[in-house]
Amino acid sequence: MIRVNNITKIFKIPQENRYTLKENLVNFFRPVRYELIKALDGVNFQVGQGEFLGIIGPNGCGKSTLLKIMAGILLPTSGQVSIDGKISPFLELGVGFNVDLTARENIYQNGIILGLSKAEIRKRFDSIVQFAGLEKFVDMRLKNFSSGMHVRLAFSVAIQVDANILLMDEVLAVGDAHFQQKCFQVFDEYKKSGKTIVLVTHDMGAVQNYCTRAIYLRHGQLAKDGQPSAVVEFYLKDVV
Amino acid sequence: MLKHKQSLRHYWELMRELAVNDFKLKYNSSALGYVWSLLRPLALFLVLYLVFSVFLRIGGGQTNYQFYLLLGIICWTFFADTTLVAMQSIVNKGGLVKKVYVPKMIIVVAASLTSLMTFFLNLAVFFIFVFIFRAPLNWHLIFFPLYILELYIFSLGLSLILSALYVSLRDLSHIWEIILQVLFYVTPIIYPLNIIPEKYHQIIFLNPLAQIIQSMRFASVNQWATTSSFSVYAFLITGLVFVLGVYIFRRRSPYFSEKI
Repeated sequence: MIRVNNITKIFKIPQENRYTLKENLVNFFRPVRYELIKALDGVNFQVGQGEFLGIIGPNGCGKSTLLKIMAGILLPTSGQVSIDGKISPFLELGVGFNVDLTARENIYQNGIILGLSKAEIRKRFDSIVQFAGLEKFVDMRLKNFSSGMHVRLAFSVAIQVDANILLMDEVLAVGDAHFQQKCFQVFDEYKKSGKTIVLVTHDMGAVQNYCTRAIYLRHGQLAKDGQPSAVVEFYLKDVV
Repeated sequence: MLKHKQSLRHYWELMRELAVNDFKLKYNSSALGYVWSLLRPLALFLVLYLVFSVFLRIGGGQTNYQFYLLLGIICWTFFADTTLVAMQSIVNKGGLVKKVYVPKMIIVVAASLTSLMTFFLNLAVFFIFVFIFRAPLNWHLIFFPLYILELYIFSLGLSLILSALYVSLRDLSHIWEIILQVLFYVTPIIYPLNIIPEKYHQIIFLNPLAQIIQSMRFASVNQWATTSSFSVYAFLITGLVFVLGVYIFRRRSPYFSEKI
């Protein structure tokens, strides 16, 4: 169960970035001009257990910001998010992957970053490698991997995470058709086991085929909430 | 607000994983690997030993001046490396900060642990030298771990302050390098403390580094290294720096992901 209560997020973007001391000293008496950007504006919704929620909307409408606030990476300017259950702490695949480490080392590092314990990873190591289809490349450094292998590895680790709420930002944009198929098989299993999934995507087909519900964000506001096909239709009409 | 309750054990595992992998990566592509981390302080030692002991004869009169100098340089290298690397760790690990929820302090502590591993290896080499040249040790050695801990806490506290500020003030790395240069000469690393008039000793010992390094020397092979009862202030300052570091870091860390 996720409750998003009246979330507003305002980014204060300095118009000139004063990173250095010189800039800070020279411009000391000139106030920094901030541009206030309202990324989210009073967003309210709830996600029940077992729902597969798709979040859609044009670029810059606040989708990723919303997801980051739900994950606890960003603080909202006002409003609260309350979550019952264990939430996956990541938004993207392969966070913390280092190309100079081997696949084995990356599996351990990434798995631990995502909240698994070392013992759990050891137990599931073979199935992770098998799912990614990378048995022969376990001790190869990641820099020698193709981008497809990279993504497969990242996904195989990510699906091991013991969370009953999963947040995913554009994870489908990178893989090929076969990989996406695999992703949705996993999502189906998640759905069956009663896990909640929140997916940010531009793939309208995926939203219509797999999501049980969709919301459409426009300029940081909730423009439409409901059946995926209705929301997608509304969105496409709205944009054109 | 959010429930990301992970056990302390998990955070420890995460910290260890990051620290060990950073250590591996540091020496990954070089043929000599860890040896480089030893060669740098050793080269500095040789140069300074030649200049100060052989040419200028500042440390010449003191017994075991070479150990005095070597231990000082090893401690100094640890301090300088830790603060410089850990300061930039949050920015360098930006991907982690922006895309996953992890307690940010773990990133800084992991960076400091990487330096600590090198420090322990360097200390081991120091003691190997001590045994080879049969420099007499004394029972004060039991306090040695305490001083290592103090040095670590002091370095970590400063690293927390520096890393939190570095996120919004990138000049800090250059400023800190200059401060390090000054600190290097304010701290009795090269010279024996007794060449400085005694009335200044109290001021010098306000610097925790001076107190720690002098105490370490006293506790190992240089019984003549001046320590001071005034050093209780150095302990207090160490504690204060650490508490302040944790405080500043905790206040600023929720905004890191927006500023990187």
